[in-house]
Amino acid sequence: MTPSPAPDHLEERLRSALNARTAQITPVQLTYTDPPPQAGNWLPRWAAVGGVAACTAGAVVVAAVNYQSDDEFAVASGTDYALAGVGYDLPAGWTAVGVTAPAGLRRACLVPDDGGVPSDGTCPALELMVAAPVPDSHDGGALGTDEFGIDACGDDYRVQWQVDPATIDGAPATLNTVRCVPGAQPQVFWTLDGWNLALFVRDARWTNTADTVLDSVRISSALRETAEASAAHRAEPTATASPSESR
Amino acid sequence: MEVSSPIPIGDGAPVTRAEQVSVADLFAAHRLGLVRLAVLLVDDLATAEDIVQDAFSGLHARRRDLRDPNRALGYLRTAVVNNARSALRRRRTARAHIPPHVAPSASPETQLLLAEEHREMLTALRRLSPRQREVVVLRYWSDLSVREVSEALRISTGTVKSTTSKALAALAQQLKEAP
Repeated sequence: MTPSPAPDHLEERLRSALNARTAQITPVQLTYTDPPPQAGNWLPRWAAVGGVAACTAGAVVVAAVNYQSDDEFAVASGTDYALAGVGYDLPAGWTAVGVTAPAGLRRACLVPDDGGVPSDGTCPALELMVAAPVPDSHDGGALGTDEFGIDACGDDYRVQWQVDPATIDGAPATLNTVRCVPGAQPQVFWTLDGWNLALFVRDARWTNTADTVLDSVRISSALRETAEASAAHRAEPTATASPSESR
Repeated sequence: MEVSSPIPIGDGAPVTRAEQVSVADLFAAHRLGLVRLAVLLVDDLATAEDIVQDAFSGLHARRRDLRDPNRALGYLRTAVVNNARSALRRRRTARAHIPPHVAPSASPETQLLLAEEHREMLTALRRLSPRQREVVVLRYWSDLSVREVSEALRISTGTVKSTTSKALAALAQQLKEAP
């Protein structure tokens, strides 16, 4: 049994413990670069939300996502792959995503965090269409659990998934329509083996512009310096392989 | 992840390019500290980094309205706290739907490097309510004043004081009961 500490001593101990814990967080050298390095020289974790403000009323939003494995991503350095961020909390606070993919899927936009899932049970006017190259589409392109499972649609919503054949820039693809519909999320989650997903976010609130893409690249590239990614990929050549090569 | 807009960062007046605060400078100066703050709130470095990234991204999106670095830091700090809260909420939601997984708290290596008394304190800290934890971390690690904590959390100064008091009492009690 530890004696109850006196208040002053308690505060001192508290400060000391907090400092000890945070001292373990060592600096990571990150470099903010503007203009950004070549597309692909950034990690998707850092690819989130730049350009949100540029998403305004209008057209279709296209975003691309590259996944590598659970909670890891296909870092693009040294490959033809650019990457994307990952979305949380769809549709409330969409914060994804991406840039280019080798199948010609390109463009990206980030979705504004402009409100939560309505509490009245109605589904937001949101439709996500996920396109993936055919070889990757056995289950409709595959989306990650964390990103598009529970969190995708909020606690009271579930993902409704539809797969249709399509072409994108002349290349065969599947067109996956994902909707958030009212109802509890079943305990079934999409497996996370999807490469080169492209999320087509259709909503009147959002649009896709070159500026948006540039903005997202800029903020993304700013936040994880390429050296770290490049070094990691040099050390692990398979991590930079294309999806088809890695399968 | 939510990207909150916790406080206004501009006063509505036009901001010239020269007046704009450099997000890059803020990033260089404050990222590490904010990551550390986030780690204390969520116990997980990767999540903490994401949280801080989202905070900076939110700031980046509003950079044209930004001219006061201090205000920007306040914005970032509040965004980190809000985003940490969201992350914890999301973690709870996930636990309710999927098989439990090991909580991404400090690694064994990290634990080993901490002195026993620090481990006890940090364990006790994790048992506080999220609000208590936020207040304690902002007060005793970020060294914010009561007023600054109240602004960061958007609660009254009275609530900051009472929450601090209750948090310290809870910590003391837990430490007293520690084996």
